[in-house]
Amino acid sequence: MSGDAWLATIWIYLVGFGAAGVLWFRAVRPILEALGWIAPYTGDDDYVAVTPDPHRGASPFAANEPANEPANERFDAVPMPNGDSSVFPDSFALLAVLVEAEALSVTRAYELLGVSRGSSAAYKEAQQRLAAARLKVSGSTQFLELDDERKPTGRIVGRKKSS
Amino acid sequence: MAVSQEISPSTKTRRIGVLSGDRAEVGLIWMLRAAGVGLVGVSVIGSFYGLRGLACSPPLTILFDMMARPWWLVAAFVAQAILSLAQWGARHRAARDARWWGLFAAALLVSAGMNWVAFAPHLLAWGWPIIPVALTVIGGDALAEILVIS
Repeated sequence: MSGDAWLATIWIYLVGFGAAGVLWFRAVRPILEALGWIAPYTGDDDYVAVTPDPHRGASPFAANEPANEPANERFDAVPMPNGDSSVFPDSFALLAVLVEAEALSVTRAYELLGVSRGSSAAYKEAQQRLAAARLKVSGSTQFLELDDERKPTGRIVGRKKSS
Repeated sequence: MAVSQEISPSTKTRRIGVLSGDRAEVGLIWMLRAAGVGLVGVSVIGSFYGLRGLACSPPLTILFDMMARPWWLVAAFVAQAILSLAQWGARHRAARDARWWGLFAAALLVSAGMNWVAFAPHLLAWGWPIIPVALTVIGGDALAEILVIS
């Protein structure tokens, strides 16, 4: 790296690495996902829907009530062509159907909701509400957070109230 | 992915030396974010020189330049902050109203213009054609915001 051009060299490396990363997540990965060669990216907070064995009694996990309140202003309701909002009362209901049908990755669902993964309140709210909405359409009764080895961490992300 | 399975309490354990695909991608995402922050940092230095119409200098010279002209450094920080916020805000607004792309393009071009003054002379001196140089400078400016925010 020559003296005057050192910063330009760093700039080129960063641009090259960044462009390759964006290309991977925005172009290459979706194609490989569509071909079924790799699983959809779910990041570091994947969930699994479970139906606990009724013979075991109550779940051993501490319950966190899901946020089931109706859509608020942050997440716009999905406009239906005929004005009927009973099928998809909010964005989460529609996204949950698509995610459960594996037509949409969880990451993409967050992108469509306009929230970035992280620790923001908006992300946490979206996380809880998407999990709650997925419960409604999945036929399962609980959503458990998984660790990086895909084992339940013990944290319940969403739970059906009827269970 | 509705599955019925027997569940039991489990503690979060990590096996040393085992890296799942998901974890590798999470690591990649953090490296990309770090690259984005790096680009913002380099962009501030680019603005520091570009504002005065100068190409960037060797490392130690940059340090002395910044100490000698702190107000130019403040101006570079402020300029980058405003331009980055304008790009970020306009890009999100543009999803609903395409006219915001105009503000995005303007902010991007002003920011890239300062970086052009600082970096392009070096790249052109290496014999790079002007189009790859323009793509590298403008693309890097746009990438910084995408990597950090998205």
